Amino acid sequence: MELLAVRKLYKYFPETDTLANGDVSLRVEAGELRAVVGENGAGKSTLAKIVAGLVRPDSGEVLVRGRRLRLGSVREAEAAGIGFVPQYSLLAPGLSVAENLMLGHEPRRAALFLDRRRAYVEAALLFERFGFKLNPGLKVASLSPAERRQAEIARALARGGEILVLDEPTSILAESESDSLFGLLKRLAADGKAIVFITHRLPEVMASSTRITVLREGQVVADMPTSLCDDGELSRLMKRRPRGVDRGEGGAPEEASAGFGFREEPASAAPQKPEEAAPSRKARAAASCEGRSGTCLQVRDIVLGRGAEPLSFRVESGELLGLVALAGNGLDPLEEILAGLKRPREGGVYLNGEDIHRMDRERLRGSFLAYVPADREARGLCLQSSLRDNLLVLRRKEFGVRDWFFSRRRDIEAARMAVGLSLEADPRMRASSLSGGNRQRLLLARELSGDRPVAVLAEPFQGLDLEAQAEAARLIRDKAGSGAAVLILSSSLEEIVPLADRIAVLYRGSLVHEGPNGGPASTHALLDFMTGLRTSEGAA
Amino acid sequence: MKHQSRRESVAARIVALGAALALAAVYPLAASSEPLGALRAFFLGPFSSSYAFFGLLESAAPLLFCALGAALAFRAGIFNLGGEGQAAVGALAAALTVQGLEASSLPPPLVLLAAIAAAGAAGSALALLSSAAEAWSGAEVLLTSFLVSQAALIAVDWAIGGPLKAASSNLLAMPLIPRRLLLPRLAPPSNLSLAAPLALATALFLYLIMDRSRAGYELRLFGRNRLFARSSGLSEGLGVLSMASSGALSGVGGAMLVLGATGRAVQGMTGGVGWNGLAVALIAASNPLGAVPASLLFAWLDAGARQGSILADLSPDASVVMKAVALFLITAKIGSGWHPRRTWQAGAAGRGL
Repeated sequence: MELLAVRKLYKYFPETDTLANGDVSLRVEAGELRAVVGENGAGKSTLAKIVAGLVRPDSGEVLVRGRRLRLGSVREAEAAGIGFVPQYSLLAPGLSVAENLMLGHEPRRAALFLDRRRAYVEAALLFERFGFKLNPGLKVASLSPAERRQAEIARALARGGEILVLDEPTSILAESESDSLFGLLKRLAADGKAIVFITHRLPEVMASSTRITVLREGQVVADMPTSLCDDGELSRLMKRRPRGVDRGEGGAPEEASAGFGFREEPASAAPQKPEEAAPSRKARAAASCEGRSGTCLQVRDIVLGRGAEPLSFRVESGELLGLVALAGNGLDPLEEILAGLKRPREGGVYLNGEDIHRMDRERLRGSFLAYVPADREARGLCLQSSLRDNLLVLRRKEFGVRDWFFSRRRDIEAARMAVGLSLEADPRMRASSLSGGNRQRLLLARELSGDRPVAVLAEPFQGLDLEAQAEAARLIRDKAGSGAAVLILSSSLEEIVPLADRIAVLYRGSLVHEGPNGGPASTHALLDFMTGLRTSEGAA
Repeated sequence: MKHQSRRESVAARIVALGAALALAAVYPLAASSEPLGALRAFFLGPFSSSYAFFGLLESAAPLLFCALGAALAFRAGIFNLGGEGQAAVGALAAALTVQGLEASSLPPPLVLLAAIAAAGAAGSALALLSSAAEAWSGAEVLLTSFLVSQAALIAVDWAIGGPLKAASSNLLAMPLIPRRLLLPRLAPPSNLSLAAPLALATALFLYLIMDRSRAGYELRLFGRNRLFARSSGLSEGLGVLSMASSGALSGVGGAMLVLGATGRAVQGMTGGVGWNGLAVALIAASNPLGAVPASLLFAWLDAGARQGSILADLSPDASVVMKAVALFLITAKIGSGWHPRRTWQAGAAGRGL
């Protein structure tokens, strides 16, 4: 029986100029465990949110048991039996599991008093029926991430959910926890529910789903039973074609190099051990680091979450290291540690041997570290302040009493910096009035100017159009060329491959690959590492 | 662009002020049996004599100090709701310092200076309790500053009415401070003392710091987006520093009450000066120069109510109603001058492995 059908969804986000869903159609039967896979930005979450009623599509329809839903209404979606489990928990931490389950639908005595006992009994019955391992009396705050995930699912069921939509349910879970979660989902499917889950992680897709939908750039590129596909094919289907080129994977480099300029290092098919390739610049860089003329960034024994192996790597002066991982695999916490915002529980980050977490942060940011955060709006910019105030934040020590009293010199300096990245805007305008792309240019202009010897750039190309990307890539390369140690954190291979000297891959918090950039030909292998198909060097 | 919007916001405030006064005039009209006389007494009474006018200026001084304290904390994105208690401990500290140094041979200006410094330190210490609680356990400054302040008010009133009470007096008050140890009077016989020019100078000084210096620039960024401030390497001590200064300013405001017009510490002497300071800071959108006219407005309404109750049959509480109307209209008009801790939500988003 067909429970859920989605027809011809279109959703365009003008703020970021992305077509998140372009003609997406989908049919899900009762008893099905449907995996929706795709790279970041392929439109998976948008699809889930449209089904849940959180986002209203520009056009298209969602049907439950053949009945059309009013779009963009959470209430209607819930009434129709769609239960949405978001990526980040929305449970009330101060309430018990049972109370969370009943929230908004509390059983009452005499229409007034909360019938707590009935809430517990109902929750316990539900858990019994589907085999949840959860105590309904526990406070949500005391639960582990995996138990919270279970409680979220239980809440969706308690509200009569027949169709469960889970947005990256395993992104914050350890492997064994994911296994038991899928055990639960399988029991629910066997009970006749329809389950749609979104993920990047191919092993769990292959192990648990019954059918797979692959999204790429907002479009369904494949929809097939799991038994008919293998993971290699899946990762090929997911991979975005190189931008601006549309003639298969082999023909990309010449075209793309116009924008990005591939490095002159010979491209090789497989990732190599670091010793095997020795580009001359890297050798120079290593030497200069020892000889104190440059600064190198060193990460030693950092542990990113439970079950992850200690993480160590270094970036030499003049070198560009790209660290790639899909969302939820540890880039965010690593970024905070590298920027000196969070102390690691173990290990440390060193600049020429000096622990950055012992350094005065003002000195760190003022003289040593250029940092472009992935969370641009919260960390990178002060949106309510002017462009000028945003641009000059790292140079504030350069101005004297008179410059602070009168704004002329600050205006001139800010205008100069803006021109440097061809940002055509009045420096006295508020940063919030800029578009996403221009905010990113502002951020890059500020951080890449000056002579800070180390740069940590997280998702440096977000929001930039092709031309601006090429410009930014040039700036980043110049930065390395001037002797800086540059580390790029990104979830997108095609941003890293044309740029980096070396590439490292994080999967579930552990470094699963590190080696010289093998060029576009190596992206398959890298994607295998990113999605967990390959877990260590050499093992296919 | 920025200047234009500032001009617009000043214009909006003036329009709102006019509306507020017009609305406020309804109250004496309704509450009095001889409305016109009451109206005249209320609005013009404070200007009817130089004595009344100078009294108005004097009563604006403590208010302005408290308003500057509130504005400074607002700029750093902090809601310091403890101005009232900070003013009270400041007043008590000033009175005690003068009492302690009365017998010494120190010249009066030094005694005054010591008293003002002690008041600042006391207010500052009270405010820092909240910062400490925040650093220690993440307690909200908004709540702790209010609670600590209420407790301090009770303690100060108890001390003034109990162990420190002047034996010779029937008032619940500490002994009178000798004339030579009070702030010099500028226009006898009126109450106007050095407090008013001191407050004005402080407002000017704070304007230079908050709007025309690097410290002010950093404070503003800190107040607008703490995460940004943190990742740009701004000192995290800015919050503590501004909270300490905010408390100190309110404490000095309390000292002005004792060392200026009143001349002694009396139970309940703060009489809402801290809360009114908060309202003044809101009306002025945390601008130190804007706080000057705003505090004069409040002092005018207070003085008007006093005059109205003497010359006509208005209640002395009339000013409370009118201040509320003014605050409501003026802040509702703009409403977006400051956004303390807007970054909470951005920071709370769960991220991680």
